[in-house]
Amino acid sequence: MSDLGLTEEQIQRYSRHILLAEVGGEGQQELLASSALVVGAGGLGSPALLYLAAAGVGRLGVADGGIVELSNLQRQIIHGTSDVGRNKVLSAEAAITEINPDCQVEVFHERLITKNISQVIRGYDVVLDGSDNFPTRFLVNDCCWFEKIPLVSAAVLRFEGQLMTVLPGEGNPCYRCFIPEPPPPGLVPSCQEAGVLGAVVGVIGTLQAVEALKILLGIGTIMSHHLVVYDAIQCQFARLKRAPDPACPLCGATRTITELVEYDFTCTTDMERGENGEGITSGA
Amino acid sequence: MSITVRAGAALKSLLGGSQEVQIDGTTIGEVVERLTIRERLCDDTGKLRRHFNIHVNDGEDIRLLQGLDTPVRDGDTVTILSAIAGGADVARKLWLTFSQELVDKPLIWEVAQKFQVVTNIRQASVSKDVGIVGLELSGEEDEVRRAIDFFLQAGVSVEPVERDVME
Ligand SMILES: [Zn+2]
Repeated sequence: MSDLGLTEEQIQRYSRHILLAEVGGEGQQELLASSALVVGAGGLGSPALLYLAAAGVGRLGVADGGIVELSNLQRQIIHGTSDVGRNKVLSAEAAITEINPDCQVEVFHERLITKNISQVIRGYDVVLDGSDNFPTRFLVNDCCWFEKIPLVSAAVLRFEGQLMTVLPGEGNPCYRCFIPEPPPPGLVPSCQEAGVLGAVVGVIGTLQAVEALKILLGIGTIMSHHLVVYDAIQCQFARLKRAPDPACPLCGATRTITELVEYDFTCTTDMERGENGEGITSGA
Repeated sequence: MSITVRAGAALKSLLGGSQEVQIDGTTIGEVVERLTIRERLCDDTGKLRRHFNIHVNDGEDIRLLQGLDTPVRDGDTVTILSAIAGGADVARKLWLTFSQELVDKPLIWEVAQKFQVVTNIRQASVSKDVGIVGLELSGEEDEVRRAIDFFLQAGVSVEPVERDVME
């Protein structure tokens, strides 16, 4: 051990972090002592997990109930061809361990529901949501809000990416301030695999990792009062202001949501496969 | 100079398939009126539907400003967004039940004409008293939602198809 509290090997491994004034040996130690949960080991979760692992986040949780499919590989870069058919969480765990043995991985091969989510989320320093459906997004937002855990939420559709960070506590807008309820009943959006340029998901998933690392290090401007919209076609980033909505059902003055609520999870992919939801799947 | 209006990826059909249009106006309400998208953006009481967010330049959602009265000026960019969650076009499988007075009306045809959705009848049992149709509707989420609203308003009973039933 050096006086940085890092082994020789760690000093080499993280030297490019240590050289940054904003990180340094101390920041690196903080990362090694910190934890992050990634919901969805799909298109967004893949780059996020890879960078968090490489950065030396000491404990990484991966929650995904899905199995690697060939059509995932165009964007879900944590998985490889030989992983097809394997549980996504196990495939992700193997990739993370290969990149950085400093990372302790916790896998949750299950769909997050009201019954299990608090147990899964509790104790993490930051949560990254890369799920591909509204019911999970609302559940993750509400749970992080109740558990007071920062959340980096992102989504991609076609060539557009959206990203926001939700910091717990008064004065910070939550995900429901942006959209208070899932779209009207009976019409919960499908988790159908859809057209998306893989690299666009990579940009946004990587941004999520950057936000999470900034939160863990306590540096920089967090997107807690902005929505970042990335338009890949025009190569434009917009940073739109967000503020708490006084009418928000979760964080507003007249809040109506005081415990976790579950929304119907109907999904075209499920219907076509004729099986129960694989839950958190592709992350776009 | 004029106002640039941009629509998010989930709302491609809002601006007639374009991602960006130019229009004149002094308030958001006026812009919305001129683009003839009020019906899509607002509910029957004239309030902006909650799943849309409108921003002028990099500002806050207009709901937290002056709503549809929020002023705009030449050179401003108005961004109309809805939350996305991954996935793109949706396909919904539904059971439609047409009562006796509706059974001879061409409502499915009307839906296909009025909204940008693809209708695909997967199963049907129609007599002179009642019609039960297993229908698949696909298209942009918002269009599919409007199509279903249309059925409901016409008095058709709409139920989601349970898994496995039609495949
Ligand atoms: Zn809120």
